[in-house]
Amino acid sequence: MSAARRVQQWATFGRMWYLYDGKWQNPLESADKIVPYLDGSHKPIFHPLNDSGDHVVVINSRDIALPGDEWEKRVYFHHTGYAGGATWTLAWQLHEADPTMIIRKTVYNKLSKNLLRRGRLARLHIFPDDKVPDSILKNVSAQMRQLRPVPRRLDHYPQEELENFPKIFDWPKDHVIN
Amino acid sequence: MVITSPTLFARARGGDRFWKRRRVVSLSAHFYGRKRNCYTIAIKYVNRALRYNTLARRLRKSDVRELWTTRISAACTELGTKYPDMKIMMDDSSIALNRNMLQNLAIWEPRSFRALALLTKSRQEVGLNSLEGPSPAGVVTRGML
Repeated sequence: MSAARRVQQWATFGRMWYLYDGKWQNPLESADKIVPYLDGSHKPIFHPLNDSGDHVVVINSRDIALPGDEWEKRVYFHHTGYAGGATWTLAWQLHEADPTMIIRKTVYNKLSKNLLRRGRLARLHIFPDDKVPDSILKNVSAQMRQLRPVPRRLDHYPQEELENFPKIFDWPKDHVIN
Repeated sequence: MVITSPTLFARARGGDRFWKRRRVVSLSAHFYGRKRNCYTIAIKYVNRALRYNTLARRLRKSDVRELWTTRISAACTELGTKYPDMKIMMDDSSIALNRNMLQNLAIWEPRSFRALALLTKSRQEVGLNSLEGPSPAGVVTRGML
């Protein structure tokens, strides 16, 4: 194989490592986006038996945002296998116990239900915050765009930008706002 | 039938039991356990496997077509378009490429596929005759358009 062809082969079949920031994102929608990258179905050379999946590193999984009242209503089932070992855990309780579990369970449920599922899930690396080990960060080669735009918090704006922002109207100093 | 003497009644029959069984057991070489080696057990599973094989000829057509569709939509997403939009463009432009050819182009002729994606995008741009977009200057519509 010539050098150019060899480079093309490595570039085509090389396994990519994608970074996904889960801050303030819906984990259910994020899993819909992540699963094709774990399968390899975002590539034109896809085949289910081809092992064409990529790695995805999810950061800030502690800051995910379930919609509506799902934190109080969504339950996760677990059975230990022994009699009376069934438990239904609410989403907020599970998140408190392990902030990576919600994303992991969501992606596990969305992957195709075959024997390749566990191998593909093993290529998903979830971290509750920004701290990612160097051995994984070295491999990360691209970033996936977030689904929902993350607005800037008012207290994260610098003071002079707030003062210089054009204002049409402001309340008088002695006005009481209830 | 002319049998004029009793010795001519003798016929050579059978004698290929070994080869008949070998033909069956060779098809079960990748099975597990006694199904692999013992004829009377293997024949059941070999018949089942051959049945599955004939039934799968129909399933293969839909499975492979689904694979082609996945590959084409992956390539379209890579280039910033969508496969349904590309289908509409190809219908309008009379480009009669089937899924097989499209997925081969996407893998082996990426520049040709890129040309198709650019055609799709240009078709989605607002043209002169379109009702979308701003009206040309000097046209009196009285707010009705």
